[in-house]
Amino acid sequence: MELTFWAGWSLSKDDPRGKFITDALDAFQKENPHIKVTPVTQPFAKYDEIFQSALVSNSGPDVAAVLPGDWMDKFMAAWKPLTLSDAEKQAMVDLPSVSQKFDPNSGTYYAIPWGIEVFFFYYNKSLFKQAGLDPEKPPATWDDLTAACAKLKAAHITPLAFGAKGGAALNHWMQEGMAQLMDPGDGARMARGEILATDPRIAGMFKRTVDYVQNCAQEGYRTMPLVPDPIDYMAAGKAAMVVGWLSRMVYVDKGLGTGNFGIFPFPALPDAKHPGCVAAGAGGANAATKWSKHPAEAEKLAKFLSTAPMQQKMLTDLTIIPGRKDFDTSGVQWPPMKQGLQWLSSGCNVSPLVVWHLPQEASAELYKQFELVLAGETTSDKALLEVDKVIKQVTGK
Amino acid sequence: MTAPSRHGRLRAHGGGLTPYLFMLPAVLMVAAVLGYPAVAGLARSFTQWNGFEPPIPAGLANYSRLLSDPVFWKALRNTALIAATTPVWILADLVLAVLLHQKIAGWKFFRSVYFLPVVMSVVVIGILFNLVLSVEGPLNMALKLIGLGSLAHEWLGDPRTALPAVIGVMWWSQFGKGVMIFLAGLSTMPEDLFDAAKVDGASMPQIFRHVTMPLMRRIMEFYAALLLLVTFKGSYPYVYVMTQGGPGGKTLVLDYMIHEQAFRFNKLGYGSAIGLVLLLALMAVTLFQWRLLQTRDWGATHERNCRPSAANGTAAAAPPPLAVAPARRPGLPAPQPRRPQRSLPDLLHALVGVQAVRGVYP
Repeated sequence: MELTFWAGWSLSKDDPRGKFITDALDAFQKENPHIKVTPVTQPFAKYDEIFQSALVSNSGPDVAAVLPGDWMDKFMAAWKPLTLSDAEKQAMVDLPSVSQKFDPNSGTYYAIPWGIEVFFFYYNKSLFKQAGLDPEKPPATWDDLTAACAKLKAAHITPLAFGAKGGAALNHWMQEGMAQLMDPGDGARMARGEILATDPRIAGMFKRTVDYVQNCAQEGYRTMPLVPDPIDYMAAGKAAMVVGWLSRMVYVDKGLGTGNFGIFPFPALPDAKHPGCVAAGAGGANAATKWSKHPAEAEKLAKFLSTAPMQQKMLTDLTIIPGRKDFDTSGVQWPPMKQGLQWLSSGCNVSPLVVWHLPQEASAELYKQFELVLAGETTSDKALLEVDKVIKQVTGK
Repeated sequence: MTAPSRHGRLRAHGGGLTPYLFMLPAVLMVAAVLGYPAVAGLARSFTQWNGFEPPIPAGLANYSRLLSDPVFWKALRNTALIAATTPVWILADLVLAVLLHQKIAGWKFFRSVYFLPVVMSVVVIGILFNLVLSVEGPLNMALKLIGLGSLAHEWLGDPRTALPAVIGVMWWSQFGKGVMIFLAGLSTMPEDLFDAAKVDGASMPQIFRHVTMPLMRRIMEFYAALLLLVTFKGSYPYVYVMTQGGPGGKTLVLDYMIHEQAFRFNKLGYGSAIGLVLLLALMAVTLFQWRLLQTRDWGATHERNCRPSAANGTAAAAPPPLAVAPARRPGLPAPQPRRPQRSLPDLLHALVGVQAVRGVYP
């Protein structure tokens, strides 16, 4: 019996995450010798489009590593409802921003999460030191971040690695900004068109991001794609900071070496309503598809990465925060990861996932406008008015 | 005398039903892979359909949205802008072909090299030019080296230069084809016309303007039609690989928008409506070109352009006087309608060696 497994990242053994997943699939096949699993890598940027094509032609995988956000809703017709035991449900992390993403229709799970994502700033300690900044005291406020940019520039160091191509990198900054500025439920209000892009909180964060990127990002940032280049750029020592998923720590570590980099959460904004909050949200999950000819085995494979031993290994080997509650942090090697877990457990987790809650076409317009503002083609105010138009058109408000 | 029966006409053309039987597989194939999707697309364009759930009838909603969708108009504008540059492509290709036709040193080498981009995958070309046009790429480095560093910038990231850069890359990938077609055309042109023009003291630009261009007119028209098709429905892979419609939608073209609507936003009904508009636009362009080819014949143009001028006996580009039918001597058979010296299919066959062109341009 053969099952196909799709993922939107490299499944090569040369890639840390790819190696982890393929090793896990090997382990699964050892436990289930009658099942042969064929892993297939799909390009991350086009994963949803390829999945859509597969869905139309009923030719997709048996199991897919799925993404949060629109993904679950967009492809509802593809997912096979999972049969989860009470123990499995209880073990699952109870962050609403995670579980709701994989449970779009209340009560039925369509995917089982194996990772939580959160955006942090990574910074290069040597470059900070070189610029006269204290490498053990990363920026804590927006003013600190601005001052750090100025000092790094004065020392002829590129402060920030940024990939503006397509505009989606804005998403990271907006999410973290909104975690501090918005209230729970505001994301849902945005999805209904009740909060527009010209809302002062969104507009303020948008302008702040534009200013920071224009002043502090590397030359050529407008044509650099969102992934994986900025992290690689920073990990190669070419820029002092980058905003990235916590799960990318393994790649930063590969480039800079343990001890040469640190992380810090998004600095507190001057108008923060919830300072110190970070937008932890759904990372990855596995789902079985309806068209699988072997539904029971597909479901078994979908759950495999979310079993306790695999989740523990994922945390210690890959710096991916598990999608289960019952994990042990004693085996975590990376000091920045320990720090990240500490921040995450500090109790402030609003996680409104604001931008992801924009209607998809409005997100696309926001990203387009972000590109135009960065290029000086339009102003932030005009750009956000354009986004408002799309929100109104899509939501019928 | 009665008109021949239909069967008789078929027989007169040779082979009765046999030719049609030979054509049947191709017709069925075209119907299956082009006809059916086109009809299905037309039907879907009147629905709201996400691709996997049953379509919901939507009447003309997709078309009315299309009219008020600024993104559609932007994409149409960009597509038209690309198409509007094709005369420059043609002229550049023709100039290069004429230079090669002079058999300058190394012309065989250049002829091969020029054709290289045509056989390269568009994806490879896109990736190559992503590097060439990047901020630290060879183009910017070269500009800095020659003291034009102020011009160096993100060619594909700047809304002012992204579309021209994409157009430039499209031309680069196509120009070899144009040069080859024009070179083949030039090789069939009567050398005595060029010689006569030279004897009369015409300069190279004058020969180009008054001899080469009129002689190559039909080939240019054919190539223009070909390029219009490329620009309308062939820009997608360039945009996909190089800019994905960015920055800020400045390189969004219609065929990329279809893809975006259908496979990014799951709006296959709306995507189908845009597809239909693109199809209609293409049909209009093709029909226009077809009419152009039907109403003018190569022979007349050729004869007109080659008619010696009464004044100096050289080739003249001026319009000929109205033709007057010569008086027929008694007893001589009625003159047959004059066949063009070269029909376009003949010419194309000679140029590119593609027998199939006969079927396309009867």
